[in-house]
Amino acid sequence: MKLKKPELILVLIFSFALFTRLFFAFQTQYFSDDNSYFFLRQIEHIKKTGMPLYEDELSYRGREVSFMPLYYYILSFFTIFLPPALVGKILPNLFISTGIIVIYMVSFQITRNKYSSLMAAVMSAFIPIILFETVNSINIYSIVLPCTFLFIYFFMNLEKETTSISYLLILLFVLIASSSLSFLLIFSLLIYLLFCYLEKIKNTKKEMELILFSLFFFLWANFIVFKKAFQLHGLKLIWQNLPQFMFDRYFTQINLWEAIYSIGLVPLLFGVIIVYNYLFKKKSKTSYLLISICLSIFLLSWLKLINILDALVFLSTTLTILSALFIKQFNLLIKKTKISKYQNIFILIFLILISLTSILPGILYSYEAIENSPSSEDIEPFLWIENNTDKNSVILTTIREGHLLSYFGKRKNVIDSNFLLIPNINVRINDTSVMYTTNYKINALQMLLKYDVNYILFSEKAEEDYLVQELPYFDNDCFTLEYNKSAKIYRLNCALD
Amino acid sequence: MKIDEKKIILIILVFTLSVLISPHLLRYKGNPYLISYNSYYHLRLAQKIKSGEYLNKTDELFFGGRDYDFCFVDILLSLFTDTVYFMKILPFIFGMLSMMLYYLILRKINLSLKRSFFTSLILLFSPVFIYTFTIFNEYFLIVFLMLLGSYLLLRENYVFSLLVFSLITIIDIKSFVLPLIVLIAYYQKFSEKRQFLFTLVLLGIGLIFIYLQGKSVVSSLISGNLFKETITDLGAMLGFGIFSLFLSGIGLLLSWKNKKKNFIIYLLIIILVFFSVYLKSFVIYLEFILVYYAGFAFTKLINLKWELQILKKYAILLILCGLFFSAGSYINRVIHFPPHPSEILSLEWLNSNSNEMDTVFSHYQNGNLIQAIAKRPIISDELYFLHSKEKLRIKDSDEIFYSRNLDKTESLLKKYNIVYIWINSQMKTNTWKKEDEGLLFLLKNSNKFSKEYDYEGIEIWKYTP
Repeated sequence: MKLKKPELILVLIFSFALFTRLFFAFQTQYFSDDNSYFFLRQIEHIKKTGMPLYEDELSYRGREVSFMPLYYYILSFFTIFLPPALVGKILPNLFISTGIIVIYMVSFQITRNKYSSLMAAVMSAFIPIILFETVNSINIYSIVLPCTFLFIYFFMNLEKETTSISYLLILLFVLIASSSLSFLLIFSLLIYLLFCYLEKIKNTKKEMELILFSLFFFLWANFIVFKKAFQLHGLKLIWQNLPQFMFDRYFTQINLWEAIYSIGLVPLLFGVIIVYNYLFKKKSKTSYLLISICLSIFLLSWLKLINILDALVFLSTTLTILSALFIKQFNLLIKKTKISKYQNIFILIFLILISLTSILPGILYSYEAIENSPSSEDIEPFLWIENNTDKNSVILTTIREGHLLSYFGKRKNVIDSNFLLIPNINVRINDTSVMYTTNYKINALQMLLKYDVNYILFSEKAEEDYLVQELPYFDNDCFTLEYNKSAKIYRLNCALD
Repeated sequence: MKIDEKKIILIILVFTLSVLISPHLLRYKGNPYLISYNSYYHLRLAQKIKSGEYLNKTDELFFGGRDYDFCFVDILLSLFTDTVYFMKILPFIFGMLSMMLYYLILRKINLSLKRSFFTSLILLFSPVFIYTFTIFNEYFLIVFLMLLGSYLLLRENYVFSLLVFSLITIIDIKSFVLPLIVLIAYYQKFSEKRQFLFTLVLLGIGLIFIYLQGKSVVSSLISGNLFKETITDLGAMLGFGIFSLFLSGIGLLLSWKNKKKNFIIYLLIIILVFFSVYLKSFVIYLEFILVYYAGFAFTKLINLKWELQILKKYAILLILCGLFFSAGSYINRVIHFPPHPSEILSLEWLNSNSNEMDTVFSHYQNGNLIQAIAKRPIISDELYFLHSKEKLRIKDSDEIFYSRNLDKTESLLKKYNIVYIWINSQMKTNTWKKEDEGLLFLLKNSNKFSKEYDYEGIEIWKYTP
């Protein structure tokens, strides 16, 4: 099949993917995860003051926050034209959709074949795990993913095009100033150097200079931004001060079948075949660059230095690009055989396979993401809190509801999912658990007073997380049930003598 | 373009002036008092010397008495009328002179103008240099004399050089290794074998010293506190800047090409590292050598031919920003170093509202400040912590801090005749983790303690048996 206007098809794929994403995103007015509301608060604060909210008075009853600010600035720039919530719905989807074009570019770079690159672009548009994580959430993948692969594209062209270095520097800045996840790219580049050395492929001086500069810049920027966190947590900073009980779950929450389903069978299968071929049979510098990303992911996951979600997101995209190489080689093989006249049938089979193993799971995952979003009923208690409690009140919520409280309820929480810069996080996690589960009022009161809690929010999430049907120590002497609808809100009335 | 050396010297002097004077200027508005608690120890001793009180007397403001431990700098300080003013100005003057000497030494050992300039600047922006010549301490004079001795040695003024080196040993016996290091490193007439032999002897002395101290370098490394204790960007009070340390590392790696020539220097660095684990002051001396390699790496980077010229510019910019960042953040910390005005105020209150022999209990780090301002006896201070072998008073203090047993605490308070307990904000966050831990619990719940003072985070409690 000879494509006359592959670029037009690419634009169609991009438009279709973006439309699908926005269709799902606008099925609900809320976001699927609690962390999106942290982003929203930051964006709104930047809009108001020009600065990120580094001193958060609501989180953990007041704490310092450390993060790379560029993505927040980019999003808040668009709040000039649109309301923040709308920016949160549209922009991340737009950014991640541009990844389709980037993947086409990189695939074309390694295959020099428009048809197989378009196939990779289709697959990349519906990678289930990426859809699930980004369709209705504001998160860092939306910017890091396209930028990482665009960096790879320009890196491949470093020798040929003199302008590449300027783009590379801009992308490096965007990546490093947006997230520490850029570490994955830097680490992959180092693995790439090692790879070339082992395979006796000579790296150019430009490559060496850029990689070393990237490494130094990454370390420099992260040290400056996370200096305090490093002072407080030491090497635990790598794991974002993750509490112990979440640590194991964080790295092993997905089994093999789930992983295959999340990545998509076709990219996984085709990608793995290519990795195998180029590791043991063939030599190609550009392919090694992509294979280095896969190896880095395996290595970092094995060492528990990145979480499984980050690993799957990057692995799926890399394997999708490598699949393009497989499709190209498969076509070349078919052309040499007697069954070359059935080539179109093979294309159809590929497309059916992609539809069944990537597009369908992708759409199902998108539905799930929407299902996971809170309903108006779920948000109502937070709005009640905002309207009926004192501004300095401290509200006990589950970890998953901390940012929701800060955003909708505008009150201080005891805990949320941002653990960095919190000393003795395991103690706090344990105390929160005690406040929800203990049968002894005296224990509960000790903890509630320790954190100056005024109200307790008992929602479905608390039931799920702490496996309790109601607040075990509730009595009318010390607590008043102030709100009783989809969730319960108790007010604390007494103190310890 | 020919660079005028005079201009270079002038630039270095202007930079030194700005860096060393800025912490004082920025601090003065909000906090006119001397920087660091330790300065107050020297202040008190200088005043004692001036008044002649030190003759045949023990330190009465240390519970049970203790011999005065005068430093040469205290004697020097006592010569001036306005002690506090000169405590600020003396390190500054010696800082300017030391910087000049360091530059001249670099030139003397045939480093290029460019390299000498950058190396001096890296030293200037190092936290170690800022600490040594901003805060009054016992080391600024030794550093100056070390540099002076080395310079004279390079100019072949052996007699004067040896005189200066002898003076170092007289001022601080612990620093006797420094002249030896300089002599080994610079004395060209020694054969390689002999140089090596001397270094081994020095290493032996170092190991004996470490053995006598009874600590293990390995355990210090394993405890993971080594970075926090030696890198200022990670919280150390006196230590290296992370970026200059990084550059030094690169410089050392680059110098590996001439490893035979540098072998003795590597060994001397190792010796200084060993010493600095136990004697913080050796971090200062070590920095002067490490900066030499940092300058080497930086000049190499500038002279290196890059394919991507734009990256070279950014790399240099990043390094410079890193060095400035380390210096800037350290100066910012120095500005906020204790003591704070609220602490001075509370101790002045204590001075006018307590009896002369009432012992004051606090963290050992606050001891010198209490002695100098409240003029009341204490049970431990930094000097005791560093030099006492059994550290009994530190152990007793910990018992008082963390015990909730009133009988036990009372027996210890009576043992030291403690009447007042002085608690500052730093203790509330660093000594105790919980608000009702140990002594804090007893203070709140026992009627034997009464709160006499509570202002801006400082609490003074009175114990009545």
